[in-house]
Amino acid sequence: LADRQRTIRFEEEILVHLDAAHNLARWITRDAGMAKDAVQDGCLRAFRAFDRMHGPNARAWFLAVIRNTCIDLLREQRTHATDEEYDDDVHGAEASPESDGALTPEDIVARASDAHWLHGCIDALPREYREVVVLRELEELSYKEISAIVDIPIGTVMSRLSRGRDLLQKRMLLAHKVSRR
Amino acid sequence: MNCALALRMLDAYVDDELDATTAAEMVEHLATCAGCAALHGQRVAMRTALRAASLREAAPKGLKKSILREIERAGAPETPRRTLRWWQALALGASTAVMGAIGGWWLAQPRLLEGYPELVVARHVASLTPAGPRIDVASSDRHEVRPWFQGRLEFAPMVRDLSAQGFDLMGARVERVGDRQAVAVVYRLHNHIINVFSWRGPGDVAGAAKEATIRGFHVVTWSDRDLDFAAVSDTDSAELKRFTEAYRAP
Repeated sequence: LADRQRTIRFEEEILVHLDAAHNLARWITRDAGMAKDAVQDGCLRAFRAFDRMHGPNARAWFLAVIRNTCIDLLREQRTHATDEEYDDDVHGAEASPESDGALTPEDIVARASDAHWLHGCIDALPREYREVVVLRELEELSYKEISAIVDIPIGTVMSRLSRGRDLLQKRMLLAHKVSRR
Repeated sequence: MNCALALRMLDAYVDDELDATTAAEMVEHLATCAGCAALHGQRVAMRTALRAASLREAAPKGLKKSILREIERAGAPETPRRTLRWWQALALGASTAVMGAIGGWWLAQPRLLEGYPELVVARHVASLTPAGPRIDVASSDRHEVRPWFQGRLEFAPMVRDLSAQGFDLMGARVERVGDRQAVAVVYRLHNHIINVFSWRGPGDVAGAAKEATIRGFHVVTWSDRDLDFAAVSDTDSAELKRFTEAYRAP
């Protein structure tokens, strides 16, 4: 009976955030199958550690478990193959807004109506920026919550978001330039 | 407020994370500085675009159900540790320190697992019962098979869906190969059972696949990173080769 109640509590407090967990896993792993694996493994981990959950924010706690599971899976899967993290010094440098006028807000909105294209721009960000951008813009979490999930100070959340958005903007501009050619 | 400070605060402002006083200074600065106002406009446009594009990927249908099923089957909570009296703790501490030292030394020695093709053939034969192959977690869904091992094993088994190639996943079980903890993932091709054993080893098996035939069973062995693998079956060697190629395909 205690087990049954525990499962019900888990369902009510944790699994209500399953969509958020899946979204985060999808954006961190960039792979639908791996995201599903990470969510399943992560839920099992969360269930086992459920009694030790502390703090009032179940969503942040759960997302932290999911994030760690994703990173473990990525590490496990990373073979001898080259690391494909996006290097903006190589790819983005020549497209800085200074060197090519500015991307107007209208440009951004016009291009961004293409969700597929926007998806690719975010996927191209290095993971450390991608995850904070997704947590802030798609999950609409506070800096304090993001700080708890990613396990970095609030000041670092702020600087990563700032840098992440700069990179995203550069990326959009680059794609924009290519499409105009 | 000057531009340098305004740029540093811009994201916190957009995210509504500034205190009231700083936010008010920011409003004032943006009203008078065209350059900063333009950058602010880009940030706001980007946010609008990101939220309008519905980029959020909700969990697939049925995922919650399979997680609940998984939890009820395998998710026993960690039992809280019994509190020890001080002398028990001391004795236990001393003995685990010694055991730990021995264990640590023992594990640090790369040991070769000798004669493993014979060992896995023996395990394969032992797993075949009149009622079918022995299986701990029976499922044709790899998303159900893999998580079952979490907490039971020190490594994650590789479970692949090879139904498109004609190999049906039947399930998996905890195994032993020699002194190694192992997993056997079970597939079926027509009436033939294929067991894929894997265990953590110091590279007992060379990277390239090797084939052998022992007592009428075909064995293919290989290793991938820190895991060693052996596939065993009574199907013919060409089919087993086709199987291992599919299983190992990136």
